[in-house]
Amino acid sequence: MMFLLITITFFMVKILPGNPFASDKMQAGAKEALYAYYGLDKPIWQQYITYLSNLLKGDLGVSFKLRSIKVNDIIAQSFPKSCDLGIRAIIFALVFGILLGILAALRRGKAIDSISMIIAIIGTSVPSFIIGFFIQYFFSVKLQWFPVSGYDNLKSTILPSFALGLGLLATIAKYTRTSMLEITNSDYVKTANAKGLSKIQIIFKHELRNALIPILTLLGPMIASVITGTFVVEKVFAIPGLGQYYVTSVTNLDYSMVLGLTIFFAAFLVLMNLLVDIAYIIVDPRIRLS
Amino acid sequence: MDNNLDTRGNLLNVYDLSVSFDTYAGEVKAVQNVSFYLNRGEIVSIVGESGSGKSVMTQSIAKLLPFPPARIKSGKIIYNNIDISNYSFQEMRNIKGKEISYIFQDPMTGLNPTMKIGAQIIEAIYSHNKMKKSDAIAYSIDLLKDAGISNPNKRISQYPYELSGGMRQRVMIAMAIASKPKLLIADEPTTALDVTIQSQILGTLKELNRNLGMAIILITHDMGIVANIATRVIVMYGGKIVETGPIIEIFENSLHPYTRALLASVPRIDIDEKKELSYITGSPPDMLNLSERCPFAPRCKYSMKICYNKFPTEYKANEKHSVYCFLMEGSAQKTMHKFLRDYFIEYQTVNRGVDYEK
Amino acid sequence: MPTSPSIIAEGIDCTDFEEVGIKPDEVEVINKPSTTYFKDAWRRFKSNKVAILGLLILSFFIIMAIFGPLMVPYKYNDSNLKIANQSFSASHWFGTDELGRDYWARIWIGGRISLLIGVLATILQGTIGIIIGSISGFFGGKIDSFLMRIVEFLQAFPYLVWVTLLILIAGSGIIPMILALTLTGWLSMARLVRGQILSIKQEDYVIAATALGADRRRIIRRHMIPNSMGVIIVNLTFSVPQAIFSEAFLSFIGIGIKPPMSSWGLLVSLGMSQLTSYPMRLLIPCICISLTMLSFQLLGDGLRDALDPKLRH
Repeated sequence: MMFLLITITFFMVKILPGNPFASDKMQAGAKEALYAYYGLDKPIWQQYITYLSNLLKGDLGVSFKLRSIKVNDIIAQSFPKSCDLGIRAIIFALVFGILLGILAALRRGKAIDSISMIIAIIGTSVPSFIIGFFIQYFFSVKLQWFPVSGYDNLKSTILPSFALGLGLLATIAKYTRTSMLEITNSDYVKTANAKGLSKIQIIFKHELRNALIPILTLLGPMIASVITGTFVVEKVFAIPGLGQYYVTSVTNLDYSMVLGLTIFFAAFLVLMNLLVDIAYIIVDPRIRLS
Repeated sequence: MDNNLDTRGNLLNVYDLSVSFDTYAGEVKAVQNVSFYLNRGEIVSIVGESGSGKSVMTQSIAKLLPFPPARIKSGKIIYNNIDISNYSFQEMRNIKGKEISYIFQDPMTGLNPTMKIGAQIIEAIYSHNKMKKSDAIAYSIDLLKDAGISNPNKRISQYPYELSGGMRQRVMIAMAIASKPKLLIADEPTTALDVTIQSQILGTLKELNRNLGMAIILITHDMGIVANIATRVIVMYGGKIVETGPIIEIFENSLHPYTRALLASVPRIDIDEKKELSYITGSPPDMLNLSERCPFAPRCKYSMKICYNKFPTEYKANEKHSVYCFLMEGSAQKTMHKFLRDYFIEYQTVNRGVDYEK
Repeated sequence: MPTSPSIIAEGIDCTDFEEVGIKPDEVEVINKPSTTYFKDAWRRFKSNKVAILGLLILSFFIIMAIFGPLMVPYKYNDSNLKIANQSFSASHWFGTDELGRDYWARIWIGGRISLLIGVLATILQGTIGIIIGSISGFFGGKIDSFLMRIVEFLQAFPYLVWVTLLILIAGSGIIPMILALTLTGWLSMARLVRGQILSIKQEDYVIAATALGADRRRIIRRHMIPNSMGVIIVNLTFSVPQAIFSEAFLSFIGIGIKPPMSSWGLLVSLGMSQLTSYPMRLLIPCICISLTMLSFQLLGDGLRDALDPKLRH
């Protein structure tokens, strides 16, 4: 599968119109030399084979624009930041989303239910870059509670994580609430009640355990949307993460970067989905049978 | 309520219980002015169609309904001489599982699918007993044996989906008797199971009643099951009790048209005569729009004008047999004769060789 | 014979004991009038105030997108540097931007484009999805496995990455954008429809129809399509905001709609750099996008509640 993706992406990138060096001003001979250096003058098939063999060695190539900087280095440098941002966003979304969902389900019809539903609706309909903007404007520019950009200290991570995670939080809260409401009416919860268990025991051991399983199915697509979310949030908050590099490489038509980063993202996502599948099998015993 | 019987020795006394649900569409009067009693160690069966209020009534006793939207409008529930009518959730925790256990109808959904069987039984044990883990495990194996499960050691580490319906029901029973309750309420425990398993489960329940001295309220709509296991019967319709009495009285001498119709609709394979399968025309009443009348009247062949205006008071056929039907009134003799004649003929053709639980 | 004490209160005489017997009309009362699936759904939808609100908001934006630009004499790319950067005024309701273009016109033209892309892309991707999903579900077997392989493959990788690549190849502009969104967005509909068809195939009434000799086309027409309509409509409603978001996102990062063209995403991107000086140029397109997406959400939720047959009373 990955192989197919690599191949398709490679050829797609090659089809891309435009010339990576078109805008560079240099002497006539220098351009040819550059071409030769990057192997761009060789036939496509050869380029392809070369690329694949490099790939097997773990070498993703070199950026065209930022000369002689290897794609691998860029990844190594900026991925940790993106990863950190993504993890914070996901944890934020999970913790508060589940909490909100549980509260809304338990106090159905009351104030907290309506409030959390409003948050959910806002989170799912307002795009992340707009959210990013607004909180940046209010909390950084106007109120100056947080730094406007950068990602160095703890304070600067709060706004971006929030912006990235809000959409996720909304979805998680909605699903948790629906799940909980369904389960509260199920027979095994009544059985637990009939045994004389305390409310807390019933909620945590029986309701929650089963309600959270569907959330796991969300995790895969969630990770994918976090990845794409970083593209936007990093741009808004000027965070030197991988997402920003991807966007810049696309706008600059830096093909090898685009290729390399696409492959990296894809591989990462495949890995994450695999982990989620494994987690799902561990958590839900019914799956093991099949 | 009866002043003649000494009710202090009873395990359970319910006086004039009314339970309603407050829904968007209005008040659903699921149970209206119901009174009955239960002796220690007795097996009583509550019979009626779906929607007659049987489950709501028993779940109100064990406070297992969601309050709200459910509401106990009036009445008293006295368990073991203690008035538990207004007990809070916390106070009921000492009753649920320990004094009164409840088994729900569908064993497929009654067990937590993500917890092993052993863990769920131990949970039941720990909620009212302290013991070491190893003792608890040994005890759960005993419970499973008492409930009639083969190979209990293996079952403990299995998940509910690995067990059949009958086995799951036995697990429910095992959990229910963990703290040796004085009363077990079994809500249609065999409806979701095969007929062959059905009699086995009933047998297990009878055994537990004998060995533990545990009273059982068995809710069902199947008169065949009633004949198998109960000593006393309570018949409900439309949220009200319409007849109650010892099992022989109910089967041989029932005085309410609904009860007779129920008995007549049981298919029989042990009689020689060909008989058309009889049924009761119509469907149960709409519990949302009730009026002050006998709920069975529109479906009753023998109904009279008064039946549409009032609900009958209690008439006693004898000390233990009560009916709530205007046919018992002197002025209703003509119709009553018709009723008895119809069913006497029925009785003659049908009632042979039926074995009752004494 | 039972004893029959007379313990009834006064006011009762023997006429009260006249026989009445069974009253059939009181017995089989089904209180609700029978309706068809769609009538019932429409009734439920109408009573959902939030969904109606969504519908109203959406209608507002659609109307404005169509008629808004017609309300002013300016075109969206009429540049007049002499009147650049004006604030709200009688002649320029939303003021002018840094190139002297009327902002009102730009916003509503942008709306046209964003909505057009969103709706067209959704319809196209929905159609492809329905076709592929039905084929897959109905025929099963090798065809199903093959098609689902493709879907799995495409779904394993980030959606926006695919779209970005496609845009880069196809170039910027409306048609390429619609193309790119269509080619990547049919997956969810295909999966959904396939699932529906598979479960309907197992339903007893389909087996019965087949047993009675109904031919395949009839089964598809009479049974499968009507029963899938509900989920299809809901999915379409939720897909539009997704498409709008993708367009906004791509224009925002600079590879979607390019100037002098106008789209809401582009306007947001342009407004971002002027946040401190002209915040309205960011605020207005943001509100437009957010409210539009919000209204689709509300509408979608309302439709889903109305069309879910399990909730039918």
